[in-house]
Amino acid sequence: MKEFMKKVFNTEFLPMSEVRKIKLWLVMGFLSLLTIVTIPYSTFFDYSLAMKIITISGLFLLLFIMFLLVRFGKTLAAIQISIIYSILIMLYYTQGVSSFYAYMFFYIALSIIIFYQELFSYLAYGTLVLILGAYYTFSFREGLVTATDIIGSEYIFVTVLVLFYLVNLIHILHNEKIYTDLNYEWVKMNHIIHHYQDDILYYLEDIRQDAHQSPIYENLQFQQAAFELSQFIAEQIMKDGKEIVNLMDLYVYIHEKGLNTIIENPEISTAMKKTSNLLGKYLLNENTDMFSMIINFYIRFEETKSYQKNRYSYRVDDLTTQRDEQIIAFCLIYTYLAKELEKSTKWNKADREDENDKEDLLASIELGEFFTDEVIAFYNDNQEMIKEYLKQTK
Amino acid sequence: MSKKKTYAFAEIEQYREYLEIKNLRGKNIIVSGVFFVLLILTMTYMIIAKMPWSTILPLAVSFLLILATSFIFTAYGEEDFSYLKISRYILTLGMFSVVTAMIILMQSPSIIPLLFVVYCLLAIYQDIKVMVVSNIYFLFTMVFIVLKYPNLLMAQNSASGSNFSMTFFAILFLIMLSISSYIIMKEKSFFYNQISKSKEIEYRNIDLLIKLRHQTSKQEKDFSSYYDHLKEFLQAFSDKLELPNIFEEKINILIDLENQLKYDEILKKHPDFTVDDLDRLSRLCVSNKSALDRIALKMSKTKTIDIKRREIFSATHFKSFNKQSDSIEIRIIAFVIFYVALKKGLLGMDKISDEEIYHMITKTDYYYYIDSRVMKIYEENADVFEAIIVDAFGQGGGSR
Repeated sequence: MKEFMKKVFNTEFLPMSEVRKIKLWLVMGFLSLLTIVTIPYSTFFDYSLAMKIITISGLFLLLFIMFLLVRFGKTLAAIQISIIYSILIMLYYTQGVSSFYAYMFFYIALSIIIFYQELFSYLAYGTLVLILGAYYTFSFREGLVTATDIIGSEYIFVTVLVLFYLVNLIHILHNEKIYTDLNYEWVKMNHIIHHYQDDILYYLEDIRQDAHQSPIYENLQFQQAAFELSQFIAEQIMKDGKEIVNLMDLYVYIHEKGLNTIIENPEISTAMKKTSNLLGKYLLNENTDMFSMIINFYIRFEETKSYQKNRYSYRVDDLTTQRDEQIIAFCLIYTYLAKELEKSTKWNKADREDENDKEDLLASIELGEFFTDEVIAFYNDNQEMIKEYLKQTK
Repeated sequence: MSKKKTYAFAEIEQYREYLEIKNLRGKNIIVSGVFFVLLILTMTYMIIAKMPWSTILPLAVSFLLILATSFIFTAYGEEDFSYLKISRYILTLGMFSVVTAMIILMQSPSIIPLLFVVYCLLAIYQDIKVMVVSNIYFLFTMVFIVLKYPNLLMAQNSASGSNFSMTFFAILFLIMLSISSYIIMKEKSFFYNQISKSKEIEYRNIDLLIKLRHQTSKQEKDFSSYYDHLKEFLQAFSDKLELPNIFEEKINILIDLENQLKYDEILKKHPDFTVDDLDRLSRLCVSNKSALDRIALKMSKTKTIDIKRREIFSATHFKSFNKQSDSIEIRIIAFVIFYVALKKGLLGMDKISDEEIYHMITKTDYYYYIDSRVMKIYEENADVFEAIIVDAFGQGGGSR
């Protein structure tokens, strides 16, 4: 419980799949509390005793099913059941008693659906709750409207419920928009960083080869430390460190043979291929998640300039506001890219001429991210000339 | 998990703040917009219901006053971000006050759910302070209604509409709303963290790339060809426009800067220029670590990026050693390899001390990238870990 609460308070560090699970546990806790409260409240409801017993038992059974689904990793199914559960408990209250607190269950059910922040669930279940809420207001108005109430108060009830629904719909749509944009930017950044780290891996390999040293995974001291540590941890968690030694052997073996060779080898079992594939993202001789995390750890200790407002800006107009200098900068960058292309095509001579002739250097770059509209217009107006003078890299 | 962890890169705080402010403007517009709709609906109802103008006018003025204040503060927010932040508190207090006033004036239970609407509307801000103020105001208003107007909820045919039940379920509802707002707020923080972190990681990766390029002597040594092409092109461009070549002098200065000539000497050759001009132009040099070099490097890596929509929502972009798809054995191996690689050190990279490694893993966001069981063992057995490392690599960690 303590661990769970700490996770809740540190949700901002966890990936979406983990957060979804946390949300589900919280909703389940809330629904359990509501169900327990419902037992004494049932005495006020206009149902037969058998009906009350069946409903309460049914609700507890559903809670148990949800619990099982979570245990077996079926989070999405459990989420759907939790939403249906909240609607069922809402119906149990609203059909059992006409009162303002029963009416509040429409809001409670809606807030549970909103919690998951999933547009389609909200549109499907939320709209259903809204329709039921409007129906309830007009059908059981005597339980809501007071003797000295203002005129048309039942319409106000419905209007406010609709407003609540719409406000939350706006909230979900707004979040969707922001998160889609942020996610796109994040994924794009990850791709770019991956490219930087391709080069970093290449340079580090170059340094290692110049120093005539073997790769880190072939180093016996490294292997000894890795074997002993993994065995130690495995023994603490699982009381048995044998399995982990085999896995570590496989990990080193993948480095020697290459992941693709193992995957394509028909003599290797499917289970082993599956494990190799899972280990693939932690290899040290490729630009994997492992390499990336090691580099990102290292760069934390590299010297860097102190934070300034434009630290993450890669716009030329943040370097200079003068248009002639922006044009000079553009031309220098163009020459840089042409030289880069020249270098990369040197490795693939067969395509060289073809590449140089056909490829528009800036075709796949979002120029607006780096240059002003004026500079882009300058490029568009003088493309041929720029290509003629600046693409000749010798 | 002991205390709250910090972020590995301190710089990301500023960018997170920037993202927060960038989105705050849009949120202010949404909240004010819905509040304006509420004003229209309320006034329309009050006029149709033929309520006295002595009731309508003060309420209308309150609505307009809050909207106007929020508008003014949002406008000033263009200059100073703190006005934008104040604006959300004005709207929070103002909206709850107006709804409370409506409940008191109209004496109808049908107005009470407006408190729920206002709460959810303000939840759009995804701000902890707004949430706390909303919770307090919500609770205060509910208790106030029950104590001051006990008959307000006594409906014509209420079977058991006791004030206790009303308060009890309102509190339960508030708990659900608070949990929901809190987690949604944290989800937002997750995205802001990831973006800010990626920005900083990109910045430092470029630094590292430039450093390694220099270290391996792979960087461009001859910059003259850049300027030869540039001169030729800009001369041809000026000829095409039939204008004098306004670029030439600046290109000559750039060449001087590239050749590391002292500012005094350059200024002697080009008396129309100032030190500020030279500072600005030096950012356009192609040489190592210049600002232009960073832009060119980024552009060269941006070229082939093509992102599919399904990729945007893929969890695989979140790098950690605590992936749900991995078994505990694989999570152990991932952490161990990471840890031992850091201890051994990578050739070509500066050494990180043992204390720095321990601190980064246990006190920063790296903590959450590792399985909690593995982390617990590491924290409780740091000396055993150290002994195994010393046994393998000798005192002082890995040989490099």
